[in-house]
Amino acid sequence: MDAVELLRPDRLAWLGVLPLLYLLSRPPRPRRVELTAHLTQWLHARARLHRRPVRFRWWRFLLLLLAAAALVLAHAGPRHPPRPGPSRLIVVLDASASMAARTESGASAFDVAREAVLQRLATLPAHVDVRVALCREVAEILTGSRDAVATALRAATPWGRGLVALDAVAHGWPADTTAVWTLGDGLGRSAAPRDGAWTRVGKPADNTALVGCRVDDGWPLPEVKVTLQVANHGPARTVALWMHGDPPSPSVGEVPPRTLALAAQETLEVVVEVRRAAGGSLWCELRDTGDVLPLDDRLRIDLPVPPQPDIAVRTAGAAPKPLVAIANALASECGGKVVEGVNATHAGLVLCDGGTLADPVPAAARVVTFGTALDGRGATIDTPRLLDWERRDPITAGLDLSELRVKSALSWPPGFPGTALLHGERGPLAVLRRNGDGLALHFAFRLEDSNLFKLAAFPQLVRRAFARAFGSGARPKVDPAALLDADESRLAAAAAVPDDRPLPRFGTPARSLVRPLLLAALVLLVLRAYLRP
Amino acid sequence: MSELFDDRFRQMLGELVRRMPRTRTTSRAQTPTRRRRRSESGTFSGHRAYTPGDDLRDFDWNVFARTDELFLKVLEDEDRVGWTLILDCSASMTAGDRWTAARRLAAVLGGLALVHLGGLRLVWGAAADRSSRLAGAGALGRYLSTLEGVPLRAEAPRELAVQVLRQRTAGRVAWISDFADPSSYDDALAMLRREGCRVTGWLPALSSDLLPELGGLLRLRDPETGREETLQVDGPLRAAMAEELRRLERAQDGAFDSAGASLVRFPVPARGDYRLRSWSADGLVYRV
Repeated sequence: MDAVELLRPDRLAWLGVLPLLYLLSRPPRPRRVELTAHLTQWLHARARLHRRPVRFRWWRFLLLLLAAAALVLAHAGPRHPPRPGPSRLIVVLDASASMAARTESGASAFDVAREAVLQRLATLPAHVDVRVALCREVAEILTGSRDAVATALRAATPWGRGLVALDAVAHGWPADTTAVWTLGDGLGRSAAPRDGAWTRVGKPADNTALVGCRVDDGWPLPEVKVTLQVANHGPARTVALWMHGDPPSPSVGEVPPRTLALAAQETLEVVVEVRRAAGGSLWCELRDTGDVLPLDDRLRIDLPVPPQPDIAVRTAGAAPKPLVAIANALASECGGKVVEGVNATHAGLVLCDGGTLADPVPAAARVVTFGTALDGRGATIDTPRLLDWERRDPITAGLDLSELRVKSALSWPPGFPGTALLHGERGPLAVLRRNGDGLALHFAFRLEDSNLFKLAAFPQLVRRAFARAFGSGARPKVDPAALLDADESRLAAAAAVPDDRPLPRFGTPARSLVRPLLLAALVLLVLRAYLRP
Repeated sequence: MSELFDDRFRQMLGELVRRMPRTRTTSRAQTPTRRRRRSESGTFSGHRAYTPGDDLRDFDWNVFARTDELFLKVLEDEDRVGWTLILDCSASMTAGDRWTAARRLAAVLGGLALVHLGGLRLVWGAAADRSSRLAGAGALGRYLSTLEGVPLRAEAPRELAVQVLRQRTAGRVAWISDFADPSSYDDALAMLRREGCRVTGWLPALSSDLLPELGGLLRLRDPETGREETLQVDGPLRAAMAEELRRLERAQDGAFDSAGASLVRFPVPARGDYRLRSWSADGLVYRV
């Protein structure tokens, strides 16, 4: 029972009116007393008129007294005083894939956590503002009404890596107004936060998981090299690695199952080469693990359909043989063909040597030019010396261009847009431009004015430019839904997760009792009026 | 001199009894039983001429010896002398001005009885010491003193009737009361009738007995029971009360009719009204 306080206790002085009500409620006192021998006749006459005796009705006075007391109390501003405490609840819910681990009851840890949150939401005071942060690779905030939050929460499923640090989310809230309640398994970055309430779900268990996957696409060649990291967080065991297309089709080459002998607490790296023809999904699956978290035992690699572009060769004069040779090689690798005189916007890749080209090249055009003047601009400089090349760009990374020699090159004006890949002493010798979905790689020199085509890096340069020109759409993708960090998949580490910390008691706002008292007074007065005097 | 019977009242009373004609009773008016009783006892009141059929035992032989004419002795019988007056002394008589009016009415009736009938028995209670026998006009002063000293005391009508019969003075009985509860008089009236008493009820009628004059918020008290009730007396209630009073009248009349008695509602003159006309109204003397 909460205490009641009065905002204006001085108004209780009106209670002094109650004795006056008693006096006013008493029936008027007759001024005369008459002796009569016919009192019986008087009473009969009154009964004939259906009148009631003039008497002081205690129960009517009691009703009036209670109503007046209620009104006076309402006038004094009674209320339940506010209770200090937070009025907002932030639920930080670990929704990473590790929360899919089965618990003893058979439900997943996420199900347990979600049920705990839903039960808590049902019992929270109505004034508490609730927000739920579903933490996976990013934090998804569920806001709105309780029902909306509960509905969204019921639809949520655990997936992906827990990249959101729960501690960072739970930290920094003002404790006097906001209660933070974190629920998770405490693994990986989902470690128990230092602040706020904490509820651990899930139990320590052995687990075998695919914790890493790297895909090296050999495009324009059809080979795809998949490097898998299999972590065994438990005693030594033997598991089977299955890789198959989904749906099973010839587009993904058949990969025979492998048996992996995993030592205790070992992380094994497995390299599998897959040949793809027309794309599809490649499932990598660990079987016979027998652990509580099957979600991290399989992952999907999406292999897009490899492009088969036409390759056009445009030269000012006779096409240099190295250029034609590289065009033929690329076309044969990706299944395309070499065409001549085709508009650059329609060919998959245009290789230009010398001549001129409109600047900027049309969007979505994929162009590699050698000494091609853009809009006819650029003077010729002799024997520009290569100072360095961009070593972090995927096109030039890892290549040795130190032997590049250039006899003459175009001098691009200052402010020429693009990323310089080759830095000459008098300006960039190669510039990379992005034009929408297209790509343009401009070399300032013609092939015949340099020894680039003699370098081993030349085919790589063109191939990388060719592969990059088709963007991310052509690159294989690993479905991150089930890919866990090594720490997160180590379910046995849950034993070290700290114990639960309860939620603080929520505050309550001041609750006025004026309305209930006024209503009570009204009811009492109506009851008094209804009852016969 | 008391306020009840002040000089003016005594003067009016003296004038009243003096002016009223003396009544006589003939033997023809008597019942055989009374005739028998008259012959046995009584007070000599005069002579009358003999008529055939008269009882020979009533001859006055002395007069015959002196005058050679037959005269009969006329004796006043006991019931004329033993006129009984019952005065209701219950507390209900104090309502209004009825108690004063009742005693004055008793004074008038008793005065007439003393002067014209020669005797009176006043009964105001069931005990033997609550009755008084008076005779002759000279007892009028003592009679008035007795009336002044009559205390209020509730007595059941039946007890009063028993007291009257115990005196063996059955005859004419005048009962002064308000008869507020007529049903309580049924037994008494029947008992008196069985014993040959001729009862006349005298009800000092107040104006409020017909239509209540009260109004406003009043506390009404029954002086007999002490019960009190607060009433808001307004027009409708007054009309309903008038109807109740008419019912009471009918009940009172019914009670006396069923007992072969008569009820006289004597309109009480107002205070200070000592006119003979007011006090001799309604054939009062002739009724006596």
